[in-house]
Amino acid sequence: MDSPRWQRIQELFEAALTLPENEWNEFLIARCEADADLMDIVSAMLQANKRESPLLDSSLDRIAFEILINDEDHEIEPPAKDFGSYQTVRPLGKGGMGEVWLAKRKDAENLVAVKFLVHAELSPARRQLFAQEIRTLAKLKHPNIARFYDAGILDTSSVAEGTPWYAMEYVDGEPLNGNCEERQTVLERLHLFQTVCEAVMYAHGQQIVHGDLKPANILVEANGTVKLLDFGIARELRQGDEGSEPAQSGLQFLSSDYASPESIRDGEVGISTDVFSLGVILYEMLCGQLPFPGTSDSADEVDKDATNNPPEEPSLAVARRARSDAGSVPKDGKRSFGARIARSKWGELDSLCLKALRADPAERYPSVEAFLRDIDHFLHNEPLDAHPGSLRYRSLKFAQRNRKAVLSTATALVLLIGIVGMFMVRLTEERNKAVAEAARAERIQHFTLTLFQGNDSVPEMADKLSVLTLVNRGAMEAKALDQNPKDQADLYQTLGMMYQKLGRLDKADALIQAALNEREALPGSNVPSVAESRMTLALLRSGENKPVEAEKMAQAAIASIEAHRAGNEKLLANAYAALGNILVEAGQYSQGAEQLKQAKDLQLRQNDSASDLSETLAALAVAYLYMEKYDDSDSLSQQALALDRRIYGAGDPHIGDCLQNLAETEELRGHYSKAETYEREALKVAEDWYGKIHPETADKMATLAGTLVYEEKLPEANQLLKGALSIQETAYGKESPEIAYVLNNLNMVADKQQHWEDAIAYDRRTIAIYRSAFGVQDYRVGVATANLGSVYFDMKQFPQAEKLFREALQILANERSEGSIDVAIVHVKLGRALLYQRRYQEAERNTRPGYEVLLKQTSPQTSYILAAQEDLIAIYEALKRPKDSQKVKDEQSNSKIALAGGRHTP
Amino acid sequence: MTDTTNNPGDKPDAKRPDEEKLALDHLISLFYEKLRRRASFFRRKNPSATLNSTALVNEALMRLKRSPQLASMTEEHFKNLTDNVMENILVDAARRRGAKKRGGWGEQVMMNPDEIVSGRRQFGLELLTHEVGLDVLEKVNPRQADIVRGRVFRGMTVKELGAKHGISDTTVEREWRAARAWLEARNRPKRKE
Repeated sequence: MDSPRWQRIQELFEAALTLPENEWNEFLIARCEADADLMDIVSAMLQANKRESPLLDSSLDRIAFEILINDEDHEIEPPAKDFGSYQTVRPLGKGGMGEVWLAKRKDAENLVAVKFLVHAELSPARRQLFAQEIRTLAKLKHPNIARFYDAGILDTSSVAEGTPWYAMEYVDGEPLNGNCEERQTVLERLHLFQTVCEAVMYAHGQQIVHGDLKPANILVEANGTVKLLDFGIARELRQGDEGSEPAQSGLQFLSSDYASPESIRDGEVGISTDVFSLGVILYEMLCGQLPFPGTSDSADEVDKDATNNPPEEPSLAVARRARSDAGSVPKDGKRSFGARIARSKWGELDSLCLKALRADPAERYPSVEAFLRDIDHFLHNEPLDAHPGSLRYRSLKFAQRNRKAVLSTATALVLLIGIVGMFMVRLTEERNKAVAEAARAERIQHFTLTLFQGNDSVPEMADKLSVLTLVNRGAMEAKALDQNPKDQADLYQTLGMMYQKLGRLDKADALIQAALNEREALPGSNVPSVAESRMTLALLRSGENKPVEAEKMAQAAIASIEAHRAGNEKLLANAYAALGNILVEAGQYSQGAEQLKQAKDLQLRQNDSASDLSETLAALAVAYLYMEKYDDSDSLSQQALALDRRIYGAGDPHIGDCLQNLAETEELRGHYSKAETYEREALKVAEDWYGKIHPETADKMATLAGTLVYEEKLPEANQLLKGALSIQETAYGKESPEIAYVLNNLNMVADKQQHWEDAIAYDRRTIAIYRSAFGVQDYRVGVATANLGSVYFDMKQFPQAEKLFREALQILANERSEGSIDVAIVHVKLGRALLYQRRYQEAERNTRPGYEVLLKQTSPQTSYILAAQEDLIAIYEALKRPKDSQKVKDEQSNSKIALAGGRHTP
Repeated sequence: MTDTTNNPGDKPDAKRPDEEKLALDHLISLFYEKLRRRASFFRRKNPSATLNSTALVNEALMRLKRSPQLASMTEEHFKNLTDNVMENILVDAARRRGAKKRGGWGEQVMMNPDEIVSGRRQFGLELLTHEVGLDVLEKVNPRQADIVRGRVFRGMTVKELGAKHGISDTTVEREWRAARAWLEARNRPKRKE
């Protein structure tokens, strides 16, 4: 075709178009002058003009899509059918960088996933990145990260010669957000998320940042194992670098939904990038939607600057969704998002989640480990309703030591503990004997050593894997022991107990159940082992706040042991002890004490139960404490102390716990100097064992400081408290509720020293922490507000104090009844503030009810009672009601006089 | 068509120092990734999002200014390069895919036109055949070929094309219509009456 011809063609074409269609033929015949080709062409053009052109009318996007990305299904062929020692089987998917195919080794049946880099020739940058991906993946050996196997380049036998590829572990699973809605509780999701975090943490430990974390890259296998994929743009962190430049500027693979703002903007990727992505993932897991929806491609439009656009709190999102779902019929078996988590706990989850999502990387969790720790705290602080009434601030600590008292000494447990080294139990001669006796211990020991070393025979790997990972793996590998149901059951039991110690009650439950089932199914009489599993389950139920069920199970197990008494004294004793703990935890102190006494008696008679006995003694001491039998409690603590010194040696933390218990009772009696002595000793033990800078040590410092405050030894108290605060801030973060106790005490000290500014500052900080951690209506916020009011009171700014007390009452009214101590105390405080403003009637209206509530307490906050009495006397005198005044005076002389601080803490 | 071992869109006889070549490689990669990224959004059914090549080019120009290796290149030269990059990337990709299939694209040509219409669009094939046609057209009427290329591969509007070539909008429309019809017509098997 030449130019004139083309002209001609066009002219004809244009002319014909002015005519109606049915005239085209005629027109062309006339004008083409027997040039058949010409006629053909123009006719065809006219037809084509009517039709849609698949390509020419498409947008460039569409064309690019069709050519670069889309594949006709029936024509998909792999880059190579046969390469290296592999054969392709079927396609698995397409990623940003290439195609992934399922393949198998030619000489075996192993399935692998092979990733081919398509269009390698078109983009040199891709080739580099692919090579880096391989290098990165080869470094990562972790049970929750897809393992790298092999790599190469397709050779001349393939059409796609030169295409690089690598083979990795084939993961058959669903993406992380796939089945969240359907089956899982919030707790289950959190545990899943923790596993993900651990894998990421491991990678960071290898100096590798993932950079593209998203649910599509995180698969969950059918058995629940989580696997991370696609370290496609993982960056190697250079020494001392927090972030790094992307390998090729301009190559942005990041899916904007999960990517941090700074990585979209500048391409910088670092640890905090991964933290952010994890935060988004957690957010989505919690409430089913994204924190920053509606992302687009261009960096200009993405605005994840949380200071302008903070994401909605997960709890609000869930609540909103629940409201809008309220009308629809729930599907069977579907559990709602918010179920099972107390309202006050959602506040903690909110702040946990949002902290990872801050726009400024410096404000996020500094590491995945810190993130994990917070989640752990959240999970461990499952609210047990505080033991009714008193001693809330101390009793939590007191009880915690014994709360997870486990039916102890499966010897394998000892071995596991010994190897892992996390629980600092020393192997004593007694224990060694028990170990030697247990016939199965050998096999189990071998097992755990294998576990420790991993399949790669790289012992140091264990250092990099957390205990939990090890136990998880143990659980997996225990499944392989199907041939030995007895051993398998023992292992399940052991691992279940480990999980319990680690706080994974759901996993513990599953494993103990499994152990129980297997043991029940074994031929012959298995009463002891079945009973052991039953008891552990009972303890689990207790830990899950199901005391009735726990007690029932424990009683049943005991009955079965008692019926088969012979030679099972040890087990029986442990069973009594477990039941005792369950009852104490449920608030039935005297019944619990009964059981514990029984256990103690049995254990005293046995030769090889020293450690069990020690636990029992301590538990009994706690029970007596709650029953306010301080002398009995002390006696037992002393026995436990002596015993622990023998078993564990002088510097062991068990000793420290005993000392702390002894200090507790002394304090309750008001013997502060004795309490101080014990606490100093306990602190020394902690310092020696844990080190000077350790949260446990900080805890002891704070406890000692509290006592010093009562003794008015303020400067030293202040010093200790500041030290403790500093340690805790580092360990838990500056806004963690863990530090509230110390802050409270610092506040008290500052108040006593009349450093008003400091006191106010501490108080405000405490309030802020409680607010963000527990919600603005949480009772702790109320108590802290009241404390702030007290500071103003001490500064003699009564109106301000009054205002704060009223505020406190309002907050407390949400979660506390009028008969609660916290409310009563604030009433008394408010009454006093009013009294000092000479508003006597109003004052009486507050002091009186508060006073009456306080009188009814079994363990009275006597300083407040005294204060209330004084105030009432003054009020009645002012109101000219001498009879009422006299009555109170009489009551006053009857009151016990014990000194307690002027401040109460939540 | 150009061989991709040189830079796509390059004049065949130009010589370039290695550094520049490398930098250009990266630039090409950049375009490729952008294109791919946009393409993947298409899958997400975002019909309103169209590729704005002007924005792309500007962005690339900015990066260009930052890289010392390409400092000597003029903007005009750069434009020449970038004008055809998209097209060349796609053509190359289509070629390779064709090579992978048994017998290449050749087998497909014999398919029944109805099948072509009702089945999935064989974009790769279409593209390659149109490329041949465009080559032919370019020899006869380069402006018209550029109009097609500009419209299809660079997302240029009628106005932009008119401005570029100094012709009216109507002329652009007319030339486009004819070229489009012709290219399409070439593809369809001839009807025998």
